[in-house]
Amino acid sequence: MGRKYLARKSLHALATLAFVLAFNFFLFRVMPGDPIRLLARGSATHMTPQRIAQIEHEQGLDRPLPQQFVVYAENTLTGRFGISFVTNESVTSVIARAIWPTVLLVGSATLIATFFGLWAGIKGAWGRGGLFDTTSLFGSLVLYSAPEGWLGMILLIIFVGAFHWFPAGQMSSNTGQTGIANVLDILSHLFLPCMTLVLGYIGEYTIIMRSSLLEVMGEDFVMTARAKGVPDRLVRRSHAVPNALLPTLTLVFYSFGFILGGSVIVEAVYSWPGLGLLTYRAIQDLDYNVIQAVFLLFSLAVIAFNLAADITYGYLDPRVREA
Amino acid sequence: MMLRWRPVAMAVTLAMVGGVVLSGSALAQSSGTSSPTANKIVLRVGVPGDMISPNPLLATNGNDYETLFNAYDLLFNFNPDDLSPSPGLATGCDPSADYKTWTCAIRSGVTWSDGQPLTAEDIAFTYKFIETTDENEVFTSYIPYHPTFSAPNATTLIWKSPKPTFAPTIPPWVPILPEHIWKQFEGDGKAARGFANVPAVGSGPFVLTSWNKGQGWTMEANKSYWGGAPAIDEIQYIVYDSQEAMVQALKSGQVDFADNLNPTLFNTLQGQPNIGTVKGTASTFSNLAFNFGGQGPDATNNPVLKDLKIRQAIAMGIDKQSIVDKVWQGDAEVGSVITLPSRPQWFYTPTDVQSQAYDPAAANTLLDQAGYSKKDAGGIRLDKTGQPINLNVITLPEETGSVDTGKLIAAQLQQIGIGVKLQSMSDKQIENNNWYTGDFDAYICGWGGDPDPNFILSIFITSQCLGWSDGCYSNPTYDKMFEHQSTLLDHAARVAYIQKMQQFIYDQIPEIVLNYPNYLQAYRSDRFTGWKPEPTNGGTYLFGWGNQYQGLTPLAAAEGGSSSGIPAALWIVLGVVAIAVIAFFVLSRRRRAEEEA
Amino acid sequence: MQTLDPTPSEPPVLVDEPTDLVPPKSPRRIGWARRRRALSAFWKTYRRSRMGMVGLVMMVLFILLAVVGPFFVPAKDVSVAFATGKPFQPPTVHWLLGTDNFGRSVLSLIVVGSRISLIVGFAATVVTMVLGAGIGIASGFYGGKTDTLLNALTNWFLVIPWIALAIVMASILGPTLLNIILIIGITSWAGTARLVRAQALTVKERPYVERARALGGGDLHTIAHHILPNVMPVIFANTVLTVALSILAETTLSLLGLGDPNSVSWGGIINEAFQAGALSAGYWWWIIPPGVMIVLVVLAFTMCGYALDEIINPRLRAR
Repeated sequence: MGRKYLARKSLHALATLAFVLAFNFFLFRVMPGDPIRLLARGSATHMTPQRIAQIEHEQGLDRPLPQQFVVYAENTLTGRFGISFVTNESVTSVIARAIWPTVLLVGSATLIATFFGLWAGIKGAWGRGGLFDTTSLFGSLVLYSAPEGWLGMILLIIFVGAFHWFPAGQMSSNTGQTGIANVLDILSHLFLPCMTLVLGYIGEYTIIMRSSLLEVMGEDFVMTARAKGVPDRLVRRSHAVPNALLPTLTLVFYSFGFILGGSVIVEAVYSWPGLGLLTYRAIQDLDYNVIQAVFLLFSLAVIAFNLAADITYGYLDPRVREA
Repeated sequence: MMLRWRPVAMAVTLAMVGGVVLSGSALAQSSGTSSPTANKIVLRVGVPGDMISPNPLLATNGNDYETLFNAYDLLFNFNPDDLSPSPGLATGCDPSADYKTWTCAIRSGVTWSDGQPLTAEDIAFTYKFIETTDENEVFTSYIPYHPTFSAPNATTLIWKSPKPTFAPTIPPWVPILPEHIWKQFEGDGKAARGFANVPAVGSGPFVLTSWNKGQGWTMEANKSYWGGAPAIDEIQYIVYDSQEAMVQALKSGQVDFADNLNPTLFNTLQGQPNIGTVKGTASTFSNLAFNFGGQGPDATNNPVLKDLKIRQAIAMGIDKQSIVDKVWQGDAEVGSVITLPSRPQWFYTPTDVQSQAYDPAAANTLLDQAGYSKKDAGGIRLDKTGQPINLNVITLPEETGSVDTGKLIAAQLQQIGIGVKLQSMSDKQIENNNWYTGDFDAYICGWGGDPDPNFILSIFITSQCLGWSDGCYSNPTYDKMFEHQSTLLDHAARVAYIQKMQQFIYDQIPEIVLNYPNYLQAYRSDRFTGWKPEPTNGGTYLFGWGNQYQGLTPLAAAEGGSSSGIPAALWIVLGVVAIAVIAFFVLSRRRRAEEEA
Repeated sequence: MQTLDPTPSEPPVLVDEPTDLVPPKSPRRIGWARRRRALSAFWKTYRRSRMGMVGLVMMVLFILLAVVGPFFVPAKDVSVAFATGKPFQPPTVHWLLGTDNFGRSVLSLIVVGSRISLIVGFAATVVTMVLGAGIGIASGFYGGKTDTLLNALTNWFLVIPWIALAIVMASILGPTLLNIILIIGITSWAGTARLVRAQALTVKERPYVERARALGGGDLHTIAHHILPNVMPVIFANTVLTVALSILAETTLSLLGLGDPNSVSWGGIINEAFQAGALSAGYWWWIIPPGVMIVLVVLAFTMCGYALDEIINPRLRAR
């Protein structure tokens, strides 16, 4: 794609990141209440006046605001997010432990939801009004209307409470297996939380794909292709879908932020030891350093994903490529 | 374009799948506890919260105490049948005629876990250390009158008290610390409290070897323990965020024991295969503790609480039976005094116990007549300065029942015109902040009592402010009473006097004892045997008063882990999905081939 | 917060210039007559959509429930201390949906909870729409530097994952009802703003707007009389969908423990059930019904919103 396009989009991503950093900074300084007291509310050690002064100095709160921002930016960009007040470890190490489980959960859910959602959307739009379309549309609407956390609970009630098919939570049985047995064990724990996220978001993807394809189907070039006698399946696959796929895929990328957000409550329900569960506990314990760090991390992930979407779009869409 | 987007889509998909698989395998490496080496006997205990600290000077909750019981010895242990003193490091202590000098015979041949010998010197050192370095007075109630200690030889300890005392036989709940480790901190309370103490050098049956904060801690058997090597090689304490997760783990065999369950979950475990349950009857009390201020400049206690009539009205406004029914589902008794019904030798029913029975009408009358008759628009009474009486009450979600009790009390006190604002905090938060600063009006927490009431009586004396006192209650009369009871050498006289003290506390209402809840535990009956309740009548199997792991031996199934088979359902689903995906690609390839032809 | 707008398309024209068969009246009368006609034409089209009608009926029923229902529930029934049921009872004839941990009837809780759930949904939507439409119109209409700035702001807010922002704000500000409403509004306005801006941009280029300005119409007049009415349909459809999303957002926040502990909402009921161990204990009657209510109400608003979307975007309609 054009270099200008790439440069523009990257710059845009960086600007967004800068905004998020600034926003996070001001959020804690501008909010009512003394920021130190706020930060210390969840502390695991007694906040003596000396300790408070120490934190003030570390965070630079005893300096003027612009200087504070510099300190904050420095700290954040070098990955120093402070100490988790609850466990007294560095936030970075607490987060490092929790990242992979979330990547596994959210990654697999996104892949599956995207794949099946797009498929269902295409099939539904092409056979508009038919049984599949009506059923899938209705099903998508219902799933879309259900809160993910509650969906997770329902799955637990049915598949664990009633049928005992899956373990009730966490990521592994912790019985020290290795190798394939361990992988299978993790898979059996992964199944339900992943399904919950898939069910929660597949509806959206189906509907997006369906609408997109319907729009394209109304275009002239599709009618032309049909008039030329091109077989239906080929029209769909070579003409309609690719054009509908582009905006759909980018929208799917853009809605990644929602699956990531949805993982917070799903991980809480299943005690899946990822960033979501970490956030859930941090909320209960008022561990602000962790909350702030996760906020930044989530934003970063979404910005990165959006940039990836822009780049993919730029690569695939010839109209943009030349820009 | 169509020809080109397919490889890109493929590439993107592969990249994502690769990423997911990689993270999956990274997880597979890092997850799971270290697999037990063959033939190592491990007892896994699930706990619903973490330790606060294994440093004796900071020990606070049940987990801390259980660890200390395992890692260290006491002068005297608690007899497992009735919690009376039984030989520990001391085989016996003899008083002088005036009860001012006690000579204790210390057993020989005991070693610390690092190989050093344990002598009477260590015991003398420990008690002196408490005197000089325990600034928070965590243990001072056990060592009254500032006695002096000496160890003329390795097996004799002399306890010289300026006043007559029976303190050595209570028994003093002070873990005996190795002099060669702790001497460096003598006199420096801050440094002493800053000592992590992991791994811990002790003389007890198990050694604390590691603590993974938020996840759990591990203790290994001390094979040279003077009381005999434990049959278990290792105890793993595993911290669970939620009791639900812990119960699931018990059911699936990931843990062998689940501690401190709430009644709802406990009831679901009745009659489950391979699961046993145990109820420690009325072994703790739950109370609403008032804050009287005095912690420091940030104390925010509402001064209206200093009016006894307000506290009386609050006591009458709380329906303790409803708390038993709704919060504990019957697994508790209505509370009154600070000793426990399960210790009949000390337990006392106040003569005027009806005066605090649930009677909202009487409470309203009392408040009307006490000068709090004016109310605001919401029905909340105004205090003498015209401010509505709103109490800031802290509940502790980590303590079973605290939050729900708070909700009930808030609704009930609304009826007598007292507003309650509930705030929930973790144990750590309140330990390290609000309790120090005094930034609360009341909180709802539980107390486990020592077998001897000396400890629980001490939490109300003035000098325990910022020590064990919940709300810095201060009453010189009571302080004198506490002093006096510790001088009474005649057991009957002491019992009678302590009853007087209980009556006093009951009437002064520094806190309201709400209930005596049962302590609920569950365990796998197919893993270990030898479980004994301590004390015999209505005691618990673990987290009691001493080494309850000594008698546990594994049943055959304890070796290795459970292999919960991958459920057939999962195989079927995986298979179906795999077939569907393959079919999809195969068919689409064929169709495309047809069309291009 | 994202709305289900599948196509970033050009907004279609909705209002045609009417033919006047009636003798000319005052401009105002003409205006109102036109609006009435447009409205009835709109209603006729809407009625044809089965999805729209089902959604509308459900919506009305829920609003009725929220307004009228709680009057039939005695205060005692939802009081923690004074409820008369035994805790954890499964559904019986007397307690149709069983009881919770305090012995309160789950059915009563659901009826009372409808009010808060819907109020929060509507109020948060008001905040979202005022912010979103306001910024979107200003951005689209004024163009230039204002547009660049506001558009950048909108895009930034679009990027931030709403739940992360909501968590940060809720944990700082504290979980009161007002805060929740504000937080949902602040995390959702960007989606609306983007939509409205796109519509406003198109409308701005239309001939009658140019005409109005040529005739000396000021900014405010143009916005109020020309931009706004033509942006209205998009705003309207978006509003309905936003209500659905706001209700879902309130539920999610409640499930995370960030809901107002002093008021009963459907999400709050589910959260309490979860915290009390209803999952392990199998108290399905406490968890399933509130969730079903949420699904139904969100479905209702979503179906209406979709029907509206189809009307506004004729290309979505079946040919």
